[in-house]
Amino acid sequence: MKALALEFRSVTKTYSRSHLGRTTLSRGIVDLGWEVPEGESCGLLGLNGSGKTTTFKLALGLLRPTSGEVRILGRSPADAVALAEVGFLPELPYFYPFLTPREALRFYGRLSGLHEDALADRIARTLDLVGLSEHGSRRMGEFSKGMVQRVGLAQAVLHDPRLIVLDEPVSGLDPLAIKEFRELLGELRGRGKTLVVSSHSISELEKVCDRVGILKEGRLVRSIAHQEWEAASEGLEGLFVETVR
Amino acid sequence: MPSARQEGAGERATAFSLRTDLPRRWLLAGLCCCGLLNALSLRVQPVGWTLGQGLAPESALETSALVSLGMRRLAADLGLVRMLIYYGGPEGGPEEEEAQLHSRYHPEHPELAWGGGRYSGLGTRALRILDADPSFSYAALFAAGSLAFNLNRPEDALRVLDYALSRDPRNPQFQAYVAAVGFHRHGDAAGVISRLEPVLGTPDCPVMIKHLVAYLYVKAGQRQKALALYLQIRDTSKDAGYRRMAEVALERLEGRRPH
Amino acid sequence: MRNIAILALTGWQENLRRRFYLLSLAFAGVFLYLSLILGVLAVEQENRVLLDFGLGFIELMGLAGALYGATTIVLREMETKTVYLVLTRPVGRGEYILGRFLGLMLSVLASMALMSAFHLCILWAKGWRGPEPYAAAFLGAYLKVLVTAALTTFLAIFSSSALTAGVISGVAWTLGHFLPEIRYLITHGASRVSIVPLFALSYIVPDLQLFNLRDRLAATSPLAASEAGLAWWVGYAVLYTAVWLALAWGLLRRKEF
Repeated sequence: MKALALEFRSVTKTYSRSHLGRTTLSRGIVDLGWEVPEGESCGLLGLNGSGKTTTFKLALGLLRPTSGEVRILGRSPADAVALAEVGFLPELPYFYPFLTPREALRFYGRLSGLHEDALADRIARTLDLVGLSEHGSRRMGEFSKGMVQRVGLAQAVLHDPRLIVLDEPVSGLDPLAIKEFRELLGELRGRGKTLVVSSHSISELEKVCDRVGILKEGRLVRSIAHQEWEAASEGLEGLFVETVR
Repeated sequence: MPSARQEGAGERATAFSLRTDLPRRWLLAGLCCCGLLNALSLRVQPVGWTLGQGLAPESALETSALVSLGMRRLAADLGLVRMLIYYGGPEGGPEEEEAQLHSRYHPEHPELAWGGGRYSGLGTRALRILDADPSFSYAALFAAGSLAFNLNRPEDALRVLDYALSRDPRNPQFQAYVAAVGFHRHGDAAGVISRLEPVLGTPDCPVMIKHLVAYLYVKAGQRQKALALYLQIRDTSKDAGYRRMAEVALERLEGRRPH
Repeated sequence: MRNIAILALTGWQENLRRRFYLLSLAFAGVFLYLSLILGVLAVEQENRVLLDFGLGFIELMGLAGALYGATTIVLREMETKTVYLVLTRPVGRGEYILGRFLGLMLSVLASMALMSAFHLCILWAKGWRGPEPYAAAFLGAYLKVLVTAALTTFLAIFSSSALTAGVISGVAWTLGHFLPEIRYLITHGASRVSIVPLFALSYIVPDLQLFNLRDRLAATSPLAASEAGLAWWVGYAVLYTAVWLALAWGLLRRKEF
């Protein structure tokens, strides 16, 4: 049995907002039980507000579960050892416009524990991987959305993590950029990386993922394997619509 | 976790709570540390001085703003600039009109003559400068010197020096000036020279005092000393007016200009 | 420690490229030059006016830069989600806040030092040769800015509002300079109603007047005899800063993004 890259054990997340002494509670995730084996590529589908981003934030320690437990690579999300093996691309990443990709990658690489002697080479190879070798010294204020997204992916894979979490990685990209992104993800899969991807683009998840989980109102209501949606007449989209309606 | 009804995903429930993200004991510990530090700082720094003269109407806002920004010395500097402009300007104006209400100088009741006469506001302005910066000796010396030796108001000059000494009692120049003013009241030029000579070389000695002492040197027949002092004024003073006067005096002393 | 140094150095480099700091340096240059006019009006005390105006202005510009940075360190990174890319790495939240704060204060120090260098050139050209301890006055100004920036950092995270944090910090700056007067009011004539808040303020607000070494430049200053030494001032500043940064860390460690 494969080791688990990501594991949610009966996780519930309730948001609490306090204002003038009055607290309002609202649920993000309800009793989520979900496992992602290492080496697998897993997707998360759901309507807006279904809890996809909440799930990712819980996995990475940006949120704390109200109940239940989250494990990444067998450890707590607060564990530095675990975080050193995780790469994260948030939705619509932002980089300071006056930084160049090399400077930004150098900063994030050092924070990920990479040492100076290996960093320059690693940055060069990563920029080459994401197709930004020629633009490594340009300020990111001049970049298109697609180029910024590539830098986002670059910082997520720079330190060669075992687990890569991608939140809406193709959001706002043109079709050509989406294709190139898909190819990049395919290459990472080929290297044995564990991918966890959320997206509104069902067709992209079909092409990239081995399995897709469907969130509805904070609950994981269905987990569909690649073979299942391949066999369905309307594909993953049909199964998704049937599940959430 | 505050108690609340929880029904299904997305349902909102309410409860009253004073919970914050910061543990209360942390905040309390932090505030106690600040309190302790401030208690210790109190031992280092004495209680601040009060504004004995109050604020001048025309500069109250500016002074308050500067003091609130921690720039007392700058407030004193601007007070000096205003005082120099006032003293360098023509006599008259609201302060002079008010001065007409005061009686003439009486030795028995000198307080009644405060401000009586020309530039009646000079002394008060100097005191306000000292309120802002008690160590601004130049302002006190300039005002006291002007009052005593130019405007012939020795009592007003002593009042300024007294105020200055109360705030900076270790300043030897103030004591020297008090003695010099005393000698001046009795017409003892030699006494004035003896008291002011030692302080001529101090950095904040007003050029007006140097000019006065040089003049007294001439009167006392001490030509070489007068020459040296006028030369110093001409070569180092930032006051163009006094540099010109020193030049004229040098020409007279050297016989290049008739008296 | 490595992460703190990385965050500090990167923060410093980022700040140096921000237009705000470049503009403030240009602004400072113009103002210091204009102070020459004021100096002329003071005639014999020209150098003193130049000295006080310059040091005061440098302090205010340093404060402006520090407040701007401290109110935006965490808030802007939270808004733009830049903080996600840092906190999802093996970086502790304490390391993050300390590193960012140090980077900010390094850039403030650099800009204040640059303005001071220009100021000293002006003073030197005007014949000023001391003996006022310029370095002590500069240090005092920097320590004031340091303490206020730490308080602002805490307030920014606590209130999640840059404006609120900036306004409260401005009030604290003012009250900090009035601390001797507040203490005087407590002991001499404050009403019973006002004595409690005044008392509380006198123990919470930083004693910024303590760092006004600029006010004690004269050798015969009446306060000179009560100086406890540079170590005490620096110690006070460091401890006070540490308290508010610790509280900021306390907030940040429990903060969810």
